[in-house]
This record gives sequence, C-alpha cells and structure tokens, in this order.
Amino acid sequence: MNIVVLIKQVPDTGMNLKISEKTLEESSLKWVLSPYDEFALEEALKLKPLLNGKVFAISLGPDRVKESLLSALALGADEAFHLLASSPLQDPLTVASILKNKIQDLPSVSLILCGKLAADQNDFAVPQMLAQLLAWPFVTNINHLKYESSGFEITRECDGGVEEVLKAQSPLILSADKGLNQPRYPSLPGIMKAKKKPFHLVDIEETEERVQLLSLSPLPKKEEPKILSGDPDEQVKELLCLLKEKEKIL
Amino acid sequence: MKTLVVMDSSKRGLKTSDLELLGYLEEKGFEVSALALGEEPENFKKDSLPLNLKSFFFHEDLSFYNPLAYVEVLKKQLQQTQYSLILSTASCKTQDFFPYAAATLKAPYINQIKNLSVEKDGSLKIIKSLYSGKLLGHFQIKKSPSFLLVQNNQLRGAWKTGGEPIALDLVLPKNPIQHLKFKRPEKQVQDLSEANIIVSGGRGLEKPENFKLLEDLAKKLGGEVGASRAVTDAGWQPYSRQVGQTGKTVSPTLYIACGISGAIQHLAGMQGSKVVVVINKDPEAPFFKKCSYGLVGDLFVLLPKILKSLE
Ligand SMILES: Cc1cc2nc3c(=O)[nH]c(=O)nc-3n(C[C@H](O)[C@H](O)[C@H](O)COP(=O)(O)OP(=O)(O)OC[C@H]3O[C@@H](n4cnc5c(N)ncnc54)[C@H](O)[C@@H]3O)c2cc1C
Ligand SMILES: Nc1ncnc2c1ncn2[C@@H]1O[C@H](COP(=O)(O)O)[C@@H](O)[C@H]1O
Repeated sequence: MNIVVLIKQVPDTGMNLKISEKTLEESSLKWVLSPYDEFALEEALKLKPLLNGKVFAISLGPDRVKESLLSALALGADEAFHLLASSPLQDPLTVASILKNKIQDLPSVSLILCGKLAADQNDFAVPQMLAQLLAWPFVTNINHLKYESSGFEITRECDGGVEEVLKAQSPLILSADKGLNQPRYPSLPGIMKAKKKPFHLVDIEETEERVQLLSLSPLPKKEEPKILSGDPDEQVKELLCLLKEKEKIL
Repeated sequence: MKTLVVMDSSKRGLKTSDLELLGYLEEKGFEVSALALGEEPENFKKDSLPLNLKSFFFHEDLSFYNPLAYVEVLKKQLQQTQYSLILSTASCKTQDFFPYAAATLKAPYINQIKNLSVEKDGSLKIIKSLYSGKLLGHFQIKKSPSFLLVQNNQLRGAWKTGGEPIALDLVLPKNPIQHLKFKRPEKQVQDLSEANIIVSGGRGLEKPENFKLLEDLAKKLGGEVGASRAVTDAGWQPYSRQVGQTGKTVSPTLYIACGISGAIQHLAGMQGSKVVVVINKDPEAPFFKKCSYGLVGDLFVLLPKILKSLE
C-alpha cells in the first residue's frame, strides 16, 4: 500500500514579510516546508515499513518547490512529483483538483497525508476538498495515529482540547496537527541518495480560480505602545483604568 | 443577498461568535437566516432565540466526528433556498466540513476572514488574514454560493431575539469513521482561537505551578490561558494552549502576555488581537514594541495586584 504525502512550500512566517504590490517581495523571503507538512511527511515515513509500500511526495508550485521535494527525498520519501504551476494559486479547490488528477494516476495509493493547514494561506481546506473529489473518507487535525491490521486508530483534537479517538479504514485522507510525531533530520547519506531517486516534473493544466487575490496589505497601524510608569500599584491602577474607560473591555 | 449563518450548537448553547456574526450581518442589512447545528443545548427552549434563527437540527450523531452529516444538512438547506452566502465563524468543526461542502458544490471557499462587503456589481470583497496573521489579503469573489469562515471575535453585532425556529427532519448518511471514545481534559476549556480574552504565560513563569496565577486572572476576566512555545515544549502546558507560528492563531479583544519575550514566531499568532498588554521585567523585551500597554516589572508582583484590584 503506497502513501502520498502532500507538501507545500511557504515563506518562513517567522521572518519579516515585505510586500511589493500584489505579492511578497521575494528577496526578503526564506522558503520552508509548511510546518504541519513536516508532521505529515514524518508520519508517512514511519508508516512506510508497516504498510510495505512507497512514499510519494507531491508538491504543486513554481520552480522553487523543487528544494522542498528534494529534502523530502533526503528524509526518506521514495519518489517526488513536482506539479509545476507558473503562478501561485489562491483557490484551494483548484489546488485540490490538480492534485487529485495526479494522485489518481499513481499505483495503489490508499493513504494520503497532509498538513492541517498551510502557513501561507491558512485555508485548512485542501485535504477535505481532495477527499470530496476522490470520494474518500477523511479525518482532519490528527495528533496520534496507530496502524493495526484492523485499520487506523486516530486521535484528533476538537475544540477546547477535547480529543476524540476514531477508527477508520483505508482509503483515507488525514491532515496532521502538531504533536503527531517528532520530525527527523536529514542525514548525509540521505541527502546523497536523494539525488538518485525518481523526480518527476509534471505539467498541469491551469484553470480559472474561483477566488481572486487583488492585493496584500500590512496590518493596520496600531497606536504607539504606551509604557505605564510608576510603582507597581500605580501601573496596575492605570492599566485597569485604561482597559475600563478607554478600551471598554472590563 | 440571501445569507445563511451556520451556528454551532453544543450543550452550553449556541456559539457566541456565531450569534455576534448574525447580529453584525443584521446590522449591515444582509437578508439573513440562521441554521443551528450540532448537539441540543441544555437550555434551548427557555432561552430567547435569535429572531432570524429559522431552523435547527440536533442529532446525537453530530456530537461525534461526522463531517458528512453536517454537509448533508447544509446541502438539503441549499436545495430548498438559493443562498448566495453561507457563513460561519472558524472552529475545529466548521473548518472541517465547510471546505468539503464547498467542493461538493464547486463553490468558492475562504477562511480566516476579517471583513467582507458587497460591491455595487454584486461581487464580494473580502479581507482575510494571511501568513499566520502577519498580513492582510484583499480578495474578490464573483461566484455564488460562497462558503465563508470568519475569524472569531471580528465581526460583532447585537442580534435580535424572538425566533421560532423549526426542527429539520433528515436522514443522515452513514458515518464511514467509527467513534471509539472521547478523551476530555481535566477541566474543559474554550478553544483558544475562540477566546475573547487570553492571558498568556512564557518562560518567565518559571515553573508549571505558577500558571495558577494566570488561571485565576483568566477566570476572573472570563478568558482562557495561553502559552509560548518555551512553555509547551517544557510540558508546562499542553500544545493546544500554544500561541504562535506553530500553535494557534488567536484574535481576542484582549491579550495579556506575562513573562513572554515576544519572539517573532510568537507574535505571528497573536497580532490580530485588539488590545495587547505586556508584562515583562526586562524593559528591552521586544514585545514592548508590539503592545498597546506595557508594564515593566515582576509578574509575580504585578499579577497578584491586578487580581486584587479586580476583586
Ligand atoms: C520554527 C519555529 C517556530 C516557533 N513557533 C513558536 C510558536 O508557535 N509560539 C511561540 O511562542 N514560540 C515559537 N517559537 C519559539 C520562539 O522563537 C521563542 O523561543 C519563544 O517564543 C520564547 O518563549 P518565551 O518568550 O516564553 O521565553 P523567553 O524568550 O525565554 O522569554 C521569557 C521572558 O520572560 C521575562 N521574565 C522572566 N522572569 C520574569 C518575571 N518574574 N516577571 C516578568 N517577566 C519575566 C524575561 O524578561 C523574558 O523576556 C518558534 C521558533 C521556531 C524556530
Ligand atoms: N500547492 C500544494 N501542493 C501540495 N500540497 C498542498 C498544496 N496546497 C496545500 N497542500 C496540502 O494541503 C494542506 C492544507 O493546506 P491549505 O488547505 O492550503 O491550508 C497542506 O498542509 C498540504 O499538505
């Protein structure tokens, strides 16, 4: 049983993001694997020997995503598929349908692992949309996975820290939350081997998107920070007064 | 523009952010109906219900993970009435089934919305949060229906009461996923992304026991406790409490950060907060550049004083 892991390359949101017109200023960016996709990839690599299959890493994006796919190969994925998009896509349903077309062609895939959301758009959508298009069951936001011969035992976090334990059979789409596992680091032999593994460059058909990005803007400027002075009693008194009278919160 | 607000219902009642979203849309003159979905609230009949709550569907199967059941209810509603907008606030549950429902109808979907408006030509203008809350994206949608999820505590208004909703009668599809059990935390808390007030603690709290201070303050204010990654990595608080790039993105009205330095990865998760109070003993802590009000001092001195003043 082969496993697909979907990975997206995103700007490191820990850096300062500068805007140039509609897009981000590329020179100011560092590209990384979207954090939740690291958990998805790690889980695929852990399951691989149990399922006795291959791990196919797939990423849809421009030229630069080659780097992320190579690092997935270095960590242990068996084959990489780069679906080459000329421009960034905004519509998660377009993304899901392009991914679906490729996944359908791959041999005996019965598990797809994704991140719960991508750190750029924060859509939280592609795995569920893919599930709809493939008519497969899905579970989002999982933080624990156990494979048994009778199926997968899955734990997902619901609102407010309540966890639900579920049982599901493949075919299945899962989206990973933090805590699922501890992603490994690449090894030197892994990096050397990656260069010899199959790397497929796939052309896609660009379709119209249902949502259009018009522009980006910084967050509205907040008032200058106000540092409260005086002794602790005075600070606290002024703070509570501001929260009550000015902000009308308390 | 015919608008459907999907309201999450639990034993505790209808979700506050959903009610406020309904109120906001009423105030803005949207032609709005609401549908309540989920578990039956304990006090459902006694409460004064929102005027525009037209229907509800409560079912035991909705208390377990069952996204396809939610999609089925929505689909039935959309077959009866041609809604242009289907809206709710983002939660674990709505983020799970809205995208699936949108895909079913090949409809546009946008999450993490901060503001929306209808243009003269009938198109929708949407402002959403991007890159863990660091930037805003301005989007346009021309196709309807659209499935939209709004950030919690963003679009708020007072809803009218006096509704007499009808119960929907539906057969739900079989759930392909089997429920085994729930694991509940010792005390059940509100999800951080929904909290209106968050009191967050960092390494400056020194040890896990000291989070009692934050819990007391959060309780007093009707809020929730958050944490920095230094704290969740040390195991002082569960990951579900972490705010930041690899934790929750939060948008409360009030965010109080205690003993947190203000690393950019932490800021990435809370910049959508309205008022930010920072308590730190180091006047050079970077968080002081990103706050509304800063208190330079020892949190072990300041927090008890705040608590006392609130008595
Ligand atoms: C890829 C990546 C992702 C990350 N994601 C996240 C994330 O999601 N969330 C997150 O929070 N971090 C994240 N981090 C970590 C982040 O960079 C910081 O290391 C972390 O936020 C620091 O936590 P802290 O502020 O609690 O600790 P510190 O930086 O150690 O700060 C402690 C602060 O407490 C103050 N203090 C100490 N004692 C007192 C006292 N008695 N009274 C008042 N103040 C006191 C100190 O002056 C200091 O400013 C991430 C890092 C990386 C590399
Ligand atoms: N362009 C893409 N290429 C590959 N996988 C993607 C892409 N976009 C989204 N995904 C997958 O879907 C998950 C959720 O993304 P999103 O719905 O965009 O928040 C990501 O964590 C990835 O696993």
